[in-house]
Amino acid sequence: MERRGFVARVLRNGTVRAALVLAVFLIAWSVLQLGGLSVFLINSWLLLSLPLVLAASGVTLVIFTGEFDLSAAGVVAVTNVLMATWLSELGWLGLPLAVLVGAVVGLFNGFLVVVMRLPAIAVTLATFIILGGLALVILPTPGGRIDPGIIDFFTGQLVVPRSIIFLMVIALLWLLYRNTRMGVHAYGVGQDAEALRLSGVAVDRVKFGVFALAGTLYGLAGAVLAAVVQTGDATIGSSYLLATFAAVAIGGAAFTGGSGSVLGTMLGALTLTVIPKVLFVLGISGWVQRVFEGMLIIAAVLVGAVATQSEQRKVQAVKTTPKVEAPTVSVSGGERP
Amino acid sequence: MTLTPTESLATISRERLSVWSSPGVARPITLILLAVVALFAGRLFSAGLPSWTAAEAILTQSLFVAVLAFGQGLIMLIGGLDLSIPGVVALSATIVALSTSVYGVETWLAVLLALIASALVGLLDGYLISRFKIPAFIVTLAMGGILIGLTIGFTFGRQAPSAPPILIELFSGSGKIFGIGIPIVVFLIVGALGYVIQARSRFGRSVHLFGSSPAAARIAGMPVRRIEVSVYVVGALASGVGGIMLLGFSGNARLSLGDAWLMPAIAAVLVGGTIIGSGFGFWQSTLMATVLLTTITVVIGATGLSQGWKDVLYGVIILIALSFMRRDGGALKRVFAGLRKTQERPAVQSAP
Repeated sequence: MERRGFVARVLRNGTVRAALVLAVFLIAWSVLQLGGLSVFLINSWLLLSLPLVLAASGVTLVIFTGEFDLSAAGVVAVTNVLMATWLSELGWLGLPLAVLVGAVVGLFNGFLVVVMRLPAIAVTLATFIILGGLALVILPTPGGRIDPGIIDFFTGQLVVPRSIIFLMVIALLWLLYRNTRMGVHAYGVGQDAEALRLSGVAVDRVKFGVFALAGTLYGLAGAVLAAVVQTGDATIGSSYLLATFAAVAIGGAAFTGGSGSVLGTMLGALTLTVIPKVLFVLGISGWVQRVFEGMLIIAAVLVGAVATQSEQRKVQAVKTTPKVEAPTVSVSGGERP
Repeated sequence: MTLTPTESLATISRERLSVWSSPGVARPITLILLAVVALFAGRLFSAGLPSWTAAEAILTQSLFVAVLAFGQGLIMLIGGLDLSIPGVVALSATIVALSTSVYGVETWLAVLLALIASALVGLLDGYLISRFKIPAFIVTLAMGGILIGLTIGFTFGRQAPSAPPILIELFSGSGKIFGIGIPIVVFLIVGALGYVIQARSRFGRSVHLFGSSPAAARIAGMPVRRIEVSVYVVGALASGVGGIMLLGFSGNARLSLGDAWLMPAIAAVLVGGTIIGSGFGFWQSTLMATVLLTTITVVIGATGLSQGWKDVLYGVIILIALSFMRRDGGALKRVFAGLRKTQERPAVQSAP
């Protein structure tokens, strides 16, 4: 067994990597921004991150179980539009209703994937298209009106800007969820669903629950997005398809499931919203930003993949060496979801 | 299961008899019949609908879906999903339009350049996916974003450059050979070529085997890494060709040129019965599914449906296709089997 330095061991942790990436961009931003960073600038950044943090956290929960969910962008689009149209006259009631819409979509996804046994990628791609289309039907051109009470609730001040409080609440909820029965089982499903099934865990129920929970988070994300941008826009959600998975990639969760942390994803989402600000103060035009973001995502996934691959190789070596004489042909490890 | 010679002979002859119900034959026929029915049902929405003009328009548009669905189909056979189609389409169309209209490059050279660029994109995609085991849809999604960014960079926000006249002549539907629109002829050629590549060539068969079991392919000594990468190269090439055709069809290289064609391509593969990551799927079914889907779009389009409802429709079609097109032949086959009351051979295992 080779010995590893402290730095290498720390860098193996995806959340730490994500924190480092975010730190680099934050330092760059604070140095480059004329007049330095103000509470106002930081608050607007955190506020804009909040919906992405919520949506990407939902995606992360699904990825832990080894499945994929592409429907986040669709749910965000629909609930965002609903908040600006049908739900805007209901006041407070609009918020739980929007969240409910998300939960229903999550249940629908869960039903198709768990009960009907259809491939999650294709199913959630279909729900993404359907919801995106519905959002366009409900509100063809950007506009509408968001209830001022809801805007105040998310954007207001409570000693510190509320965005900070909300982010801390999400992190806290994650730490609690991680240790619940469902949270632990969800990790296990991603690592070895068969072993978990044999030990008596209702794997299907866990997956179903995770899809529903993720849908709920997307619904909330759409409502928060409506409050933050203070308008309804059916196309605003489409950027979330790439952004949610980018946040997961930067956050260091393995796309094969079973490892990672929502904290990492939160840091990834914060990084994604700070990048445009850094590029803006650098005077870099929009197309470079797109190229840069794409490359950053690929780089983040690469780093994560290399880290998990070497980890898996280590585990496999430990597992197989005592039994197999010549472990040259590896049968497992070729399948990919 | 081991069979004695006579038993296996009996099995084979039973298989022969049931050729009409085998998915590679029954499904494309069913799909094309459904397309014809849909075209006639269009009468309900528009008085002028079952017409030759409409049929020609449908086959013309099917060409673009078919070209894109060919690449998408191969990628989905091995468990991937290509979301970079809009990016590659925009890139290849912009390369052709920009180099011919602004830099005065010969059209054939411009087309060659666009295809080389597309192949390189596929090579990079395939390398990242096969070497690092990264989910294909994430790599292709990010790559699509990069390509759109680069394309904006190439054009410097200039107005969309226009297509070379020869491409417009070829793919807008105005040009004809023996009274048949050129795109329709190309559609037939693409159909035949796709069949040869996917079902008859060594490459196609190795893709099917790799898709059904990468581990088995590796143990059989196949160059699995090379197969996987070449699937993405062929996929990106198909998108590049699609981009060039769409450039001719629409007349100029807009950034959003490929946006509207991604979902139809995915839907065609799924409606054709290809099961993601199973190595199970037939090109002829995908081809007929492109005709069916385009027919539905045209018929629905006659009602003046908005883009939003069209998206909803495509999503619903994908969900229906996923639920019914299973490896065991799906709902249709079960119905036929019930009618004939025959003893079916042992149930084929459905997708994992």
